[in-house]
Amino acid sequence: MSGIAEPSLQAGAQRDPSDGRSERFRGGTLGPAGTVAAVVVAVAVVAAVWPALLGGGDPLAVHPSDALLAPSGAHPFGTDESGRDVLARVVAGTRASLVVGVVATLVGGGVGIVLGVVAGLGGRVVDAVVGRITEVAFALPLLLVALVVIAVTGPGPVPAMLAVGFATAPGYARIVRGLVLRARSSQVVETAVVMGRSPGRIVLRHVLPAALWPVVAVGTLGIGQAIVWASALSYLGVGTPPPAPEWGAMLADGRTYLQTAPWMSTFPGLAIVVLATAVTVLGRAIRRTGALR
Amino acid sequence: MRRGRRSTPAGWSAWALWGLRRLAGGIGVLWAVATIVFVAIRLIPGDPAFAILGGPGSQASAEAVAQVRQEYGLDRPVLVQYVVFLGRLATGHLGDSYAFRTPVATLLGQQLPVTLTLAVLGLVVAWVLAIVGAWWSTQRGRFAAGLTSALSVTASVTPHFWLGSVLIVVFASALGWVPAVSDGTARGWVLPVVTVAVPVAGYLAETVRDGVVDAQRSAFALAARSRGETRAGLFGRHLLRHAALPGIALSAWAFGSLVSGAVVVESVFALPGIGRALVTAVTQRDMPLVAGIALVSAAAYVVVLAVADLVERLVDPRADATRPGGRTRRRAPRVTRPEAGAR
Amino acid sequence: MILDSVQKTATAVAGAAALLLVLAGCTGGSATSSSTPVDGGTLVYASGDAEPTCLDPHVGGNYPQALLSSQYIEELTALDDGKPVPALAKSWTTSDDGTTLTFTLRDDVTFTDGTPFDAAAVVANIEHVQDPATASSTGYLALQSITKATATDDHTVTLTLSRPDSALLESFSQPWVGMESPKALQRSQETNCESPVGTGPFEVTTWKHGDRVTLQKNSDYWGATAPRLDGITWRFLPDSTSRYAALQSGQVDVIDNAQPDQLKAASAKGSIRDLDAPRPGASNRLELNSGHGVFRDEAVRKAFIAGAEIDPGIKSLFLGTAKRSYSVLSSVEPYGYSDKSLFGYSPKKAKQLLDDAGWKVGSDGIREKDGQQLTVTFPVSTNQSVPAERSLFQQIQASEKAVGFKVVLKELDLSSWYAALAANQYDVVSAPYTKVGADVLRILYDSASITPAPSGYFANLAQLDDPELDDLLQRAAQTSDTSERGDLYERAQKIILSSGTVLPLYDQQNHFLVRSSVHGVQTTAVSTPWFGTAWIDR
Repeated sequence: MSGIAEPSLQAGAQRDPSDGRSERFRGGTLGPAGTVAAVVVAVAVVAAVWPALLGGGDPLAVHPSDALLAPSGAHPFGTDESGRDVLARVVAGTRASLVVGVVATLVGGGVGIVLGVVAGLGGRVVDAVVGRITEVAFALPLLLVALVVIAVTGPGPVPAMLAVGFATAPGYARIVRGLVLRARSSQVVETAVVMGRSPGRIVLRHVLPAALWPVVAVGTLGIGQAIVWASALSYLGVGTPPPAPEWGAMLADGRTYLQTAPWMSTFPGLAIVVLATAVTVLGRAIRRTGALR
Repeated sequence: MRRGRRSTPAGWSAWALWGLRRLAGGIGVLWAVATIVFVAIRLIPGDPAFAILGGPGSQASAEAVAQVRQEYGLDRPVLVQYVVFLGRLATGHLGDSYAFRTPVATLLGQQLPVTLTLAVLGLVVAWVLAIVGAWWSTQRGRFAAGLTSALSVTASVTPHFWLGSVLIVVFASALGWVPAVSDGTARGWVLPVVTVAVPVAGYLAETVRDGVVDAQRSAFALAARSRGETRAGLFGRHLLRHAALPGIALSAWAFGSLVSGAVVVESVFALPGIGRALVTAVTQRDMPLVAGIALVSAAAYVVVLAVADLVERLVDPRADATRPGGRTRRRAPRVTRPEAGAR
Repeated sequence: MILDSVQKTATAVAGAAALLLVLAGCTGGSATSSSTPVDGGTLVYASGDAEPTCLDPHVGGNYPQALLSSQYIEELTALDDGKPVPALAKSWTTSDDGTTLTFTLRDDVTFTDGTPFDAAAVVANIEHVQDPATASSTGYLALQSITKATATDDHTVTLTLSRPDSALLESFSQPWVGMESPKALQRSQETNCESPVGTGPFEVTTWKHGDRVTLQKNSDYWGATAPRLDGITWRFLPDSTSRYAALQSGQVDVIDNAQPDQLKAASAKGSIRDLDAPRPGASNRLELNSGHGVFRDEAVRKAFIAGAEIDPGIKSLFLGTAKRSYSVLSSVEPYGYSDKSLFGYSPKKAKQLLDDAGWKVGSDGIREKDGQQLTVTFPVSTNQSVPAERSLFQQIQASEKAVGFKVVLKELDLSSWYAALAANQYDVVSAPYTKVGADVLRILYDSASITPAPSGYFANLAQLDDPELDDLLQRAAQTSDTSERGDLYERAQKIILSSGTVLPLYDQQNHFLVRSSVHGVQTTAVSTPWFGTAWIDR
């Protein structure tokens, strides 16, 4: 069962102006929400690439004597049970979490796009076969797939990314297939067919772009989702190994100290929510500018 | 452009055909899931004989192992095991759990209702939250709209295990309004259902809201308003119905997400459902139980898909166009507007 | 009745109760909580351990089974201060050559299904544990020296042993060789697993897998006091945070696997108390694989031990609830030997040892030799390790890095962890082992324990192969002279501790949090709580 929400794309796709229905077509600007989101995402990318710039200290440096300190000037996010600075770990964890989210989405999106294009362009038989495959893939709950994949491969960030990616692929496949079908029967393509353009050219110039760009918008929502599912895997004990900072693992470990040191889980949790929200809002804003059509 | 509609046989025979097609499709899905599970199980490292003999680290003797191999048919060739496996499934035998030595069917019979209750109640609560959210965001001005949008996005990316623990600490430990873990009473269901519903509510709210917004601009809505229909009436009677369609499709997906969420939520709230059983089953390499859970989830999904399809056809205001037999095999994704070209 | 040295607890409770009575009399006004036992009520116990796969402790044999079966199954002997005392067996004699052990049994005990407890029952039980079809691990190992069990009359059992076995009486106090009804044992294993029949103060009524076990009171219990509780609801709550929250809100009465911060918080409140019952057997320790990899070199092992900074971590992670141990054996074992001098933290010494052994510091701070990095694989079982312990391992990892070791922590589920151990994919590991008596040293450090069972499992994870040690341990297992045993075990532990294959951390932590409304809880030989004398005043 896919971890992403396809109709949110459909909702966005309904904003295709050629249908005579447009909604808040801003024509090029991101708007206030989109701008804020863009800034947040930019900060996150900087944190991922150059953590030292944003948060002081070594995320792995252990100081047992400073364990479980509440947020203060010296440690704005407090310290964890081994005296490590939570701010440094949250900043350092940006890379791991972004990578997990992006890679899982790329894996899922990639596989999904291939399946969807094949289904949309192929004949009825091919479509039926691929349709059955995606239905089967949908029928298995994401965490079941992930747990079994990890039982086969062993735990770690890579299996987690692959597991989440494969589990989300059918969702992307379905969306892409729908988009390809619609593109095939659109006015533009019909005209091109009537005008005698070659099928290959039609596919490349009209069908694929119309089908693929909107997926980017869905993918942004998928990144947030992927980060959250990966954190669930850490909760279940099969995620990123210690002591590497990764928000999901930090959130899961911090739960043990929820009543005595709530800052240990609050800040990574906020980080997950803020980044996932920002990526989603940014994706929506980009879609609304109409830049992706 | 015509989409090649077949002629429309009337009434019962059309529905029967629909039913048969869905049944055949469902069986196909289950067979594929069973095969995938069989292959996946073989890929997991570890000798199943030791899983049967008291789990990992067992000190069972060589004779005990040999006996178990023979008893469970583990020494036969893979293809034979596969055929036997399928055969047993076809007759409804899910086998015995390696760990508990009880029939998988018995275990699932006890645990599946818990997960289904959690999923269904979660979906209901999610819908309620989504409709309220849609009302707020479309009828109450721009600030409310922005706020609701932000809240729904945030809700949709909230991790279950964190939300669950926070709710327990606040509402059970601190305030004492509800029990911390499930105890069989209705109040014991409140926190788990809310926890599992919140992320789904986030998605649904956005979808329903988008649908309502689109429907608001349509011709029939303007006409209704000009007839003097109140905002509330319009919302309830017309807009929601149109907006509901993509929501129903989303509900089928959401059910799957709810089942996945149940894996985490059942562990946090100690609900004896199949999600929690799945975690221990994979840890203990209890293959028949893993297979049983996978098949049951797939079957539930197939049923939910069929129900969603049914509900869609009943709810869709464009009734005639969607009756069974009146549709082509390849259809565009479910959207509220008429199919492309049929203008 | 089954007690151990925590008869002292019962005495303490009684003493406190008496004191309260006196105080109440003196002050005359203030209400004290009831100090007289109250009948009735159901105790709710929430366990964080993995749910057993079979309620019959003969099958397999792990701690979760012991926790449960302590309430409905009893043993031939019990422990008082680590020494065997009568329980279901009234008395016993050992032959001069040590190869015959004769038990005289109580004659006033019946199983809850009506079958009388007699010599035939004991024989049936021993045969059941030794039968390969039962697949017993722990019980099987404990009874290995028994070649034959005969019922010489209704209440006398004679055991013929293959060699003198001084550990046998201690072993018989463990639930994994507890006494079940022979009639019940004749049923299929599936049925017996669901509801085994014993002589204890409670009996199993139902088991809802993945949820709870329901126990009800055994009204015909043979003990001096009849059980006061109507029953026990035994719930499986895997999530530690939720478990504690349920205890706080009063939804459950007793929990196990309490985390250190929960222990600290609970002791601050009046309404919850800590039952600290370290498990018998080995202490919680790290074992270094001296048979493979970098730790074949004794100098490298000693360097690792010197480079591990442990004490600050124990203080900050366990918040004073765990004390550092310098012994291989648990603090409740009478023959424990401790040597603090061998385990001081000295990064200077560690670096010196590694330099001398030819390991040069590389560019990233990790030492190298012959093109190989000084990598130490450390598989950690997430099922057996609490979060505080896993954090401690991370701290050890950090301090070892400063000295030049690259410790790779691998968090694995139980099955994968056992697989890694069986395949020698470990350099250091923490493997708890619970067994009554110092004979656990033989199981863990005798070279015979390096030979794997068919599943690949072996107990001697340090892979110690020292003939002198083997000889000491085997002689200790065969002599029943306590001072000789003590001397032999001390010499054996000296060898083990100075071999550099073991790094003791602390006692196996076994804390139970009990609501103050629950009274009269005792502990058994394996440090499980026993509710035969418990009562609740709500």
